[in-house]
Amino acid sequence: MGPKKKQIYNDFFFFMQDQKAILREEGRTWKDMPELVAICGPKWQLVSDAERARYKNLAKAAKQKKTVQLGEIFDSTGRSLVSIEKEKQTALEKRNDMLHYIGNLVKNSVRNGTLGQETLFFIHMNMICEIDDVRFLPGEVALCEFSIENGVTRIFETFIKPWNIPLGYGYNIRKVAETTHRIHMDSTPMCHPLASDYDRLFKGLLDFLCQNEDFDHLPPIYTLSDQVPKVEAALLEWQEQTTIRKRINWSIYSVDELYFSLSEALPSPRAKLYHATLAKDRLEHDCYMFSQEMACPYHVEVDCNHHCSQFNVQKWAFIIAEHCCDFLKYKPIPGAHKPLDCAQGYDIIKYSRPDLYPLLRNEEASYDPIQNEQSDGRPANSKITRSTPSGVHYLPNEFEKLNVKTTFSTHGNEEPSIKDEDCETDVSSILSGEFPVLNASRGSSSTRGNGYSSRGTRGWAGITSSSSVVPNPPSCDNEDQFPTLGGTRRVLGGQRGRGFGGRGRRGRY
Amino acid sequence: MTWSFLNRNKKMSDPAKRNMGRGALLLERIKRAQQEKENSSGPSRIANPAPDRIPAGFITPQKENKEKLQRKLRDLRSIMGIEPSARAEYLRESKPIQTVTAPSQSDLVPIFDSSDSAVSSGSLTESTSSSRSPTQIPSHELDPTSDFKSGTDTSTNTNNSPVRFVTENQLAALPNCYEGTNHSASKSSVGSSSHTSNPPTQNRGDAGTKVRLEVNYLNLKVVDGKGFFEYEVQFDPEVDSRQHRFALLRQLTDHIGRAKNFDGGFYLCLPKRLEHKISVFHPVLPESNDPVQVTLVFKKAVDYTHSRALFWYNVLFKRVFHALKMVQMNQRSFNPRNPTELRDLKLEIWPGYATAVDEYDGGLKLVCDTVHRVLRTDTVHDLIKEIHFRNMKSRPNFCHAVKQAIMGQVVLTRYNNRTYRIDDVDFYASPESEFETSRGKTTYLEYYKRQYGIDIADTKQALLISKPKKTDEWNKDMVICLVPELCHLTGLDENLRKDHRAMRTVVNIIGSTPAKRHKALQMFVSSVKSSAEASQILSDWGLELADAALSVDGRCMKGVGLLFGNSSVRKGICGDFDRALQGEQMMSGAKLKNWLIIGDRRDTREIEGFISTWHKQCDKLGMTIYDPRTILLNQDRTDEVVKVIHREHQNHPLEMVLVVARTKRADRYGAVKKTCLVELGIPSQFVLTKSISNGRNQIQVVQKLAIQVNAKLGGANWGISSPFSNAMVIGIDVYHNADGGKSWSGFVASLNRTFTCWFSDSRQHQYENEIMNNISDIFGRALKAYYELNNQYPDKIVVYRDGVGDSRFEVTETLEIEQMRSTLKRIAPEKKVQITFVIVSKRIKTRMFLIQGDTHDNPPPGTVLDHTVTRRQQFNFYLVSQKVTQGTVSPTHYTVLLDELELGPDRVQRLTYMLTYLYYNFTGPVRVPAPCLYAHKVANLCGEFLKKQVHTSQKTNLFYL
Repeated sequence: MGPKKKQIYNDFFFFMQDQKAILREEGRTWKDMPELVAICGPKWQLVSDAERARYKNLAKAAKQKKTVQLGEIFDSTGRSLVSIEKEKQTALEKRNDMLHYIGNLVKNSVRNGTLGQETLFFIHMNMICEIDDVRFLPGEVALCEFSIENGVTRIFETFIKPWNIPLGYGYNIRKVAETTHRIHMDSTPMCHPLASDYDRLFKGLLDFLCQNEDFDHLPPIYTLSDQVPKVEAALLEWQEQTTIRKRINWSIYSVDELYFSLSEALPSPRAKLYHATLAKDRLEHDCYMFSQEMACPYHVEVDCNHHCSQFNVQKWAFIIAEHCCDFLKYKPIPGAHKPLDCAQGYDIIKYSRPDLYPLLRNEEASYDPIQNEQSDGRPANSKITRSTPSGVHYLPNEFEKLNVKTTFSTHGNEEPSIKDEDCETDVSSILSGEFPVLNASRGSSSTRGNGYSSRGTRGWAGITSSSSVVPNPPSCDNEDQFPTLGGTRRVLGGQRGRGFGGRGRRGRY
Repeated sequence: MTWSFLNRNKKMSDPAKRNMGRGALLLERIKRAQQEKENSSGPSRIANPAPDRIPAGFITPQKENKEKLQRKLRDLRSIMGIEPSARAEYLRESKPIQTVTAPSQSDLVPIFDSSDSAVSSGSLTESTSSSRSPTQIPSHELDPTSDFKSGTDTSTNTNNSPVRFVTENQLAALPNCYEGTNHSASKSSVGSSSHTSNPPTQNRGDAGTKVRLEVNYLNLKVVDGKGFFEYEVQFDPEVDSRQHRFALLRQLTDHIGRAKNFDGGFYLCLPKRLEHKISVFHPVLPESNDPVQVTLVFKKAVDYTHSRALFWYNVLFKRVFHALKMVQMNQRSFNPRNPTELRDLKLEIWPGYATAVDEYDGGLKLVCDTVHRVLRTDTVHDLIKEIHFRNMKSRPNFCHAVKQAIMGQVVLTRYNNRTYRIDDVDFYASPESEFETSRGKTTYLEYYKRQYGIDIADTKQALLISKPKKTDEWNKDMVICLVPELCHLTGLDENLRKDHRAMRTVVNIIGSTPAKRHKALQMFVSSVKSSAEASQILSDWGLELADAALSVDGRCMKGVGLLFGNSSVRKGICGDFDRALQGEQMMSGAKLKNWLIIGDRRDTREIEGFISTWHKQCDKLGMTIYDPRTILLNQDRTDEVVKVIHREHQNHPLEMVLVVARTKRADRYGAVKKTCLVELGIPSQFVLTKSISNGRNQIQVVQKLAIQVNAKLGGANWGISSPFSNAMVIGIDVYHNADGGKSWSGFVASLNRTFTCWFSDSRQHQYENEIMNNISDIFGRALKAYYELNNQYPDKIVVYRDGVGDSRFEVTETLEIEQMRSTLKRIAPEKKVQITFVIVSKRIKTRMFLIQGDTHDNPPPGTVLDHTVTRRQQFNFYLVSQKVTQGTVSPTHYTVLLDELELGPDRVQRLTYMLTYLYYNFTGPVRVPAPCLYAHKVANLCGEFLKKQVHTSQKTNLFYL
């Protein structure tokens, strides 16, 4: 059966309707519409202009009525078809905008040779609760500023106490927390007063993204594609809790697409990822699970590093850096391009998953997984000797040229910051200028060599003694290895980070 | 022309060949008839075994139905987007109507006589020389040294020489009934002369020794003169109210009888036929007394095997249970009146039954299994009181503790026998709070008083909140408030589970022995018969329940021969072979040079002790193990473990990681598995300190561990000698996440002849569904892996598919088999690969008990039952492969959807049984064939922990053991 023919409600149609009654009175009959048309056609020619105008109005009204009706049609969940159609359209437009933007960004920067300097922002949120796939309540937010050349330059990370949790989600919240991020509603960071200071946190986030006061041109923020709508909804709802009434246009884009576009733009065909889903697959690998440096102190404490938001934003950055640095001839810097505690080398993925990313390996141009694994029955990777690409090697003193990372965090209690005596002076001076409160902690004797010692002394509201948390704190021997890191890496307190924005571009050499 | 038709050709020729002496002419005729049929029928159709095995006289309606069905299925494939359950509904409706009346049990031809069983348990030579089977087993199918010797060829196990009786007429009709799979091709045609009493014996095997079994089935007989008669109801003038329609029909009781099945619309069904085809009555409307003309128009008499009738009979039994004053829960009926009370454990155990009426080979039957429900006698209120007692001082602590203890619990409200999951606790509400009803505001106190006649004692208690499940879209924001006092806790709590003594008491009651089950079944029959109301319900519809459970003849297959190292063969293994294992080496021991033990520093002594035992045991099993690198951690942290693995692997590539853990921690397990299997591609093994510390059974534990590790490293533990050359056995299972989310499918394929090397893989599904859409990819990889090892693609493929419900057989068949075929066509286009597809169902109500004298016992491993209680018109059987020491063994049901290999019942049963011995985590037979269990394990591991595909290098190892 063919598609049903559409009824046309034009002026002639209404004329015919009127004529029907007259013709019936005259005793005339007709078989079907065409016959009726044939009868009425000559008569229509004789109709006066005024009459015609009347019919035209009728037709117009009918047409309007029809469009109104479409808005009154609802699907089984009670949404009108028009609004559904509109939603679809906007979603599609949004996606196109994103692809367009990312495409342009990569294209232009390749043309200008500034691909390595392009500043990108990544965001990750740990959701405490998702309500009916409409509301998303975050518990932890982390942003990082990243460029391929300089790696991760700044980090913003904070806990937020979720607002307006409706009754009936208690169990759900607990289960999500237990199985993933372990941010319970009664955990220490959640109970911190700063965690519910939505205004301050939100302003901190905005400041991190841009320096001007009116937040007009926020840079796009990237997150995993399936998180995009969630992050956007959460940000909008977060703003409602604050006093900021200005409408902010968030551009939340997908980091998969970005990574995919970047890989396409790299100068070597070996670097290509072929599809955004492959990029996503790579980004979702838990390849830096061992690192304690990437996660926030709370997650290190609860032994759940790889669910930390701060961990995740850095992970994406590191994975992208690992991929791109080789091809763009940048030297990877520990802490900026790879975790600080990544013992040797930085190509975690490359050495471990040659089967997934055959083209990224330097040894072989092509790789047949089956052939390789059959050759001697042992895992293919076991015979790979890691070779550092020519010209890419790092020296220990690279550490000293590390960029400062700033963390906005509610981790701290009243005396949150732990400073090393010999931290970079310029940093501390800025800090002391900006954060007068923090000076109070300067006298703290603790040094920050690794996750343990710092965590112990920094303490959480409620968890104070270091010995109770870490039964066997390691000695601080490691500090020699990372001489300048103590205290400079994380600056605590919920202060606004104005003045730090420019630091990201600071040269490394 | 596709190969399925060629195959059919071959099948047909087999019985004919056997009767070559009787004339090649006949063979020619059969062939010609087939070819004509093929030419006319066009492209290959999906073989549908269901309607195949019916007598030739009934071909036409069946065929139409079948075509309809196939058309529907084709449509279905195009609309695969629809919801699975809807799809199932759709298919259920499209079941062909069966026109054959089922024979009663007495009509069955006895397959066994004593001489037969003696023969079949003997060797190949004996069975082939037996008088009734003059032909040899096709030699290309069987390895002469295999265990299959004991099975005789399928087609020879009927006492008739089939083709002899085929008349000209029947011959012409013959091809019609052999679409797709049918072994004893000629059997149906024999039956066609007396189709009404044709016993469906095609799929009975006869290997093994005869055993007497009792099954938990009760025969149901439909009395002559009663049946299932459908009428259309017309009202004049129209009556819209359902209530009124029912009321009107109620007034007709004198004319049409008390028993009726009226749906409130136009459909009425009566157990007896009315006198006239159209009957007109004049009842009056209840309130206005207006007369209404009700016309009943007879539509048709439905056979009791029809799905509508079966559905109705199941409803009837629900009513029977209601009449017996039993309580319905989850489609089971429990007797609340004489519970077993365990006062000190605060438990109550209700006995109950799970029943279903269905049509089987032996006619209409009721399957009735004993079930139990453990209920706790303490309420949530008691629990809260206890918590309050412990947290007298601070209210926040108390609230927190209550939430911690209660949230997530499933509670049962006895006033309506429903269960709820507690999602939250509302401390600001109490039973005195008001809520909106359709009749205005009311308090919980009043509501419960009015609705259920319950007085709530504590008026100040907090209320429990339960969020309705997502399916209730209309009430998204609604929550259910429950009163703690009325909520009984369910499930056994942690403390009780740890209490071995208490658990034993509970298990003793729940896990009833065969004898207890037998008694319970008899109790059920006697209670139905003694209750006037219950028997009235049945007799109204002409149903007669048998007095006692059915007893049937099953068979017990002989033991299995296993191959061990140094080409040692242990024959006749039946049940656990722990003892046989002593002194045997593994078939091929793995070599382990670079490996790592990670443990806690506090466990230093245990680990040292373990390593020495480990070396000894591995030596015994024929593995070559070098000294491990042992790393003892100071901190009990996941990231430390992962870091060490990464570091050591970079220093020197590892072959295996063994983690000695103090406690079971899912997150650490997941993290290590992810690192090892996904990132690095090395096998890993977890072991608890507790189990390797010097204890009574340390040696056994270490031995089991060594066997497991050997398999993970790609070594072979033990094998069976394959009955075929160049065949692949595949196991498929699907993992569903407990809280929704995407499903994962596991796929395991054998790569060698001794079934020691398996290709395993897992894929994420697009949605949460059972049927695999992505079989093609995995299957292709498996085929390639097979090719790598054997330099050829397999000729034969046997698939064991687990986890498919009864209603989904057709979908599985059309989707999964088709995918496999197209993959084969793509990868090995020149090969004619035959597929046998077997569906494995574990969750069945069927139980069988071995009758020895007066006692009822569990049947031994290898017991098989393939008649009487098997599904009609399907090639299916029950097999008990595992051995249980307590409780009742539950058989596994196998349905052969497609048998292109022409294995026939005996060989499918034998192969299935042999495969149950190959699970390397257990030295004995398991419930399902090993590939199925492997598939289950791999899907579980990937779906629950890895959430990614594993490293390619691990796919040919059993990394998930």
